[in-house]
Amino acid sequence: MWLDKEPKEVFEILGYPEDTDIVIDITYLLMNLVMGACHHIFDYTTNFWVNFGQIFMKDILNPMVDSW
Amino acid sequence: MTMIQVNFLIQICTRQKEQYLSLSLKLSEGYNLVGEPYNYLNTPPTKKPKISTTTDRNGGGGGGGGGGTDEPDLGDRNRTDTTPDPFVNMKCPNKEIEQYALLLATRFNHDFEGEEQILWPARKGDIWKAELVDAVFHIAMNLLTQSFVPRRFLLLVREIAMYEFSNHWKRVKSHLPNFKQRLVMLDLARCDEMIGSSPPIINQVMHTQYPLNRMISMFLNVSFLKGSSFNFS
Repeated sequence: MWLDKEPKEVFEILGYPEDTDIVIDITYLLMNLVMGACHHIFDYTTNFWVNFGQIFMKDILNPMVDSW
Repeated sequence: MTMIQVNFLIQICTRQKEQYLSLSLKLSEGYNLVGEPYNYLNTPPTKKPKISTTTDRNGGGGGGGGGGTDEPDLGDRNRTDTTPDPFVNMKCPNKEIEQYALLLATRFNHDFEGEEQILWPARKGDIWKAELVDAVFHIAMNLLTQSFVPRRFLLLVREIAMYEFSNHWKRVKSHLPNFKQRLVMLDLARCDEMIGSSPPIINQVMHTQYPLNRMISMFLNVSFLKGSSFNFS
C-alpha cells in the first residue's frame, strides 16, 4: 500500500506545491462538481447556481485562503 | 494539511476493517500513531510499583501461590510483544497529524461509516456555513462512486475541514444568513434530496461531469493505484 516513490517525487509529478492546504482545494473541487450536478438536475431552468459558487467562495473559502 | 498527510489518511482508509479497528483500539488506549504512548493531557508518566518478593520469603503457602500467578503474566507480555502489529512500523510522516489523532479517534470509536457529522460549530451564526460545507460533501459522496474516491476518505476530510474551518470562524464575527444565502441553503438541501432519492440521475451526472471526475480521481487516487482492494471500472 505504501508509496514506492518519495512524496517529493509525487509533488513533482502532480506539480502541486507543498505549502498549500489541500482541504480547501478538495472543497473547491467538490463545490464545482456539486454546482454542475445540481445545475443538471434542475434541468438548466434557472441560472441560480452561479450565485451558489459566488457565495461559497466569498463566505467560506476566500477568508480561509486569506488566513493562511 | 499537506499532501503527505492526505496520503497517510488514504492509506489508513484503504486498509481492511480489522486493521483500522486495531488502530482505533490503540488510539482509544492513548497510543500515538508512531507506537509510543501519547498523553492527551500532558500528564507525567507514572511508574508502576514493583512486585516485592518478600512475601514469598516470609509467607508459606500463600506467598507461593502469589509467585505462581506472577510468572504466566510475564509470559503473556512476551507473547504480545512478539506478535506482528501492522501499525507498529507505520511511521507518522509529519508531527502535525497528531492534532488529528484525537479527531480520528472519535471518528473511529463512533460509527466509522456513518453519514452524520460529529463536529459542529457552537455558535448559532456559524451553523449555516457548516451546513453548506456539509451539504457539498454529502452530495459529492453520493455522486462519486467508491472506485473514484473512497467514501471513508471523504468522511474524514469533511471532519478535518469542519475542524479547521470552525477554528477560523471562532475568530470572526458570526452573522445569520441573508436572503440570498438562505435560498442557496434551501436549494442545496433540495438537490441533496433529489440526488439521494433517485439513483439513475447519478449516471447522467457522471456522464456529463466525466472530465472533472477524472481530474478528482487523478488528484486523489495517486497513492492507491497499486492497491488490490479497489477495482477501477
